[in-house]
Amino acid sequence: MAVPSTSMMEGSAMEIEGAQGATTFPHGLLQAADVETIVSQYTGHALVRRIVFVAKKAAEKKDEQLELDALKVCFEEAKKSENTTLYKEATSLIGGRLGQEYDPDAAWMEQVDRRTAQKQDKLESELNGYKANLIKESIRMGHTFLGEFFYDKGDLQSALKCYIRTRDYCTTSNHVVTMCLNVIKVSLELENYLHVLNYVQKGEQSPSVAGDPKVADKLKCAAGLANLANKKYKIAARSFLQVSAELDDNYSDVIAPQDVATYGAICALASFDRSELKEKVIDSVSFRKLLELVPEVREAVYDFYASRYTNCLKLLDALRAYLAFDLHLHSHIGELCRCIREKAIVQYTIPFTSVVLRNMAAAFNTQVDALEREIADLIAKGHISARVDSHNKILYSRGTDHRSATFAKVEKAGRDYLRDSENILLRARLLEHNLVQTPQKKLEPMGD
Amino acid sequence: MAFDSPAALLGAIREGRQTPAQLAGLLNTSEELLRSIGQDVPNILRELHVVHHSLAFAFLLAAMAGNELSEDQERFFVDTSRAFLLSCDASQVQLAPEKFAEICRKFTELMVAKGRARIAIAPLRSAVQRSRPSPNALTPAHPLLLQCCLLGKFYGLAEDHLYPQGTMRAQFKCLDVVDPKTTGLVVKDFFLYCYYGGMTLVGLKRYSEALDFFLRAFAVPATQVSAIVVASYKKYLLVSLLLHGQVCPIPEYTSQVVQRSIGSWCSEYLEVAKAFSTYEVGKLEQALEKHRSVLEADKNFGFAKQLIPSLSKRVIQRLTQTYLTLSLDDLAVKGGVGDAQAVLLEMIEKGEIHAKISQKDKMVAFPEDGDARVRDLSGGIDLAIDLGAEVESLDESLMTNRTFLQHHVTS
Repeated sequence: MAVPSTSMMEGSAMEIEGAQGATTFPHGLLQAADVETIVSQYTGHALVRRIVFVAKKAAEKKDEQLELDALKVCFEEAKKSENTTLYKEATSLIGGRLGQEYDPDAAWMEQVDRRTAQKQDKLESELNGYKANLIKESIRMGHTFLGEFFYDKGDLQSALKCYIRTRDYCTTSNHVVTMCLNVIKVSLELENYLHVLNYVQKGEQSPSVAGDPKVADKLKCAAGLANLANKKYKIAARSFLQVSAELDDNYSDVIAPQDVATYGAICALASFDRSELKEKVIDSVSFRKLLELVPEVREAVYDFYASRYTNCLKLLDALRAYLAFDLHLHSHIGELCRCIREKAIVQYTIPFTSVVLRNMAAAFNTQVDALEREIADLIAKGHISARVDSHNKILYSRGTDHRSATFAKVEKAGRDYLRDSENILLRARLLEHNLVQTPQKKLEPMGD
Repeated sequence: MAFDSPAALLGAIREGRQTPAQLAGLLNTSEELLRSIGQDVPNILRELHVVHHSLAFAFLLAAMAGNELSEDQERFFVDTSRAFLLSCDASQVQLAPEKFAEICRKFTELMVAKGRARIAIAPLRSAVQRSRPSPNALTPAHPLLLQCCLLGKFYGLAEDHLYPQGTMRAQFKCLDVVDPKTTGLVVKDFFLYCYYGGMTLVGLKRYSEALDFFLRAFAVPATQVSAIVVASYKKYLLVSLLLHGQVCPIPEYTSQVVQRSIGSWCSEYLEVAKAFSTYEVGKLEQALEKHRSVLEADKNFGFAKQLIPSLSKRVIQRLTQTYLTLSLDDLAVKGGVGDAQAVLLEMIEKGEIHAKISQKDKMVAFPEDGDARVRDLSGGIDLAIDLGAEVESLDESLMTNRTFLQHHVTS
């Protein structure tokens, strides 16, 4: 990767000028996903899921070349595995557009199905044997094997059931961690994020995690993904930021280190304040190493922190197109970019007592009127303490009058206290005299 | 010893040998007899004096109120109880508060049904004065009086009976709830007191106090949601929007069942509130139109319509916080009002905003409002301290109150 290793704080603005469209950024400024990158970064189910996702997105965007490239990879992967469901999906999506070579092969499918059915029988009978003998460790292994078998076959629900069943047979904390990781992997794929968070917590409580950074990283990644999916961006960012740089491709069947850096950085930009951003992102040695993997995101982070909003927003806009093809980030990127933009606008205005909107609009790549509307919205929401002089197109900051604000607050607190206390007294008195609203049935005999 | 015939009853009453308390005991044991002589009550009453025999009057009239009445009897009942309420002897009727409450309820019901609520006001006022054991005690006659005042649109008169007399922190105080054995108060009376009290204050346009009244209905301990609480909450929502522009949350001391289920009873109102919170007049109009039938059924539509101009004003007020200057045209667009200048002038006159209109370049300027009043808080702090002490002493007394603990803590 040809990343210039010069001082990034000072030189970055220059770099970007030269970098637009050049080779400095390997994929970030592409308009769409790159199949080869995906193949090189992921393995197993993550690869397949991402490829299928890219194919579908490409179909939505009428990019047939990309779609077919993705489907080709998908087809090859399916053929290598025992997952006939995926094979069927791939061939039907291809729909004969790639010639005979990629047409559904019924004989092959039947053969695979027969083979897997046999394997399933074998595994199940083995498991029953273990159960009859009541050997705990063997039963656990039996369930795990069966779970892996279903997982390879693409039957996620059954896999989840098998993995969860191993829970009762775990004897060491290593077993518990394995069980948790298995359940997490399947639940992530099933998009059952509540489950993921539960098992992450369970896994983190296990004593063996402390001695094994790889497992800890995996759990953090899973927690981050689940929180991202639940739109808890701040918590997601914190989870991703705790992942160490040694992740490499340890977890490539779920997430690549590049993703950790991208998700973590973008969530952090959208949700952290400046001090937290500096402390946890910019000053974090381990996360900086991760960020090196995605230079364009790194530049965006440093630009944001150095208040070069023009560059930062330009980079983000460019990244948006690429990230729209990302399996986990695609539905959040719009919202996240909006948050980042709002934060940028707010931060831009803070140091000034007055801002000429024309200059500011230039800094944010936008028109004065549009910017004025954006700012008015932010003021109305209470994010900016300032007022717009619409006539002269100037934004004046507003010194809050702490004295009268405090007075008003005190008055309100006092009023609320008086009212609540009176009402509590009232409630106690009503209770004392047994004046209670009860269901009608009980009232009637009393009234007679 | 109970009376066994109307004659014995009449004789004992007229002789007047027993003290009123003894007589009350006797009459209480003669429930059977009183119920059976329903038809003869008018004849017996004619033999008695309304002031001297007030206690017997109360029992007999209550016996009559419990029955179905023919038209003649109704007329007799209304006339007699009116005279009774206006002139009965307070010390006697306070021995039979439940009977007295029954008469008041029946009397009000008949008067309201005939559309003569105004005429009922004077007797009910007298009833309030005569039946309360202490000057600030809430009696069952209070909500009835408020109801009649509301129907007759005598808001000022109703207002006299909302708050206890001569206390400082009047806004948060309501009338004392004393032992129901001395007033005959039931929980429905209290609900109605809160509801009608709130309505009175809405009528007087004292919205913030109205809000407190509607809120009081939530303080009632409950194991089931009452229709009056739901009606109060609907009004509470509307007033709260009008006053604060948002729905204030339900306080923590509300019973759980109410807290949990109140929303499902007034989903239409919550939708209106949601539309209001978007700060878009069009959306609010849509929501009101969509739920018009529900609002009209609750007789809240007229009140709800006031939200529209209130929202327009709020939008403009928010603009004053956002802009220093703004052209009139922009203001009309952003505020969703047709004639921005007229609206502005009205708001400036009422002191709702600070603004200056420049006719030359059609701009409006909103100067910073130099509102830095220094308010006297010391009085409020004293009140709060007193009240805190009161809460504490009540807490202590309840902690050692055996019946209270048996009822509400152990069970």
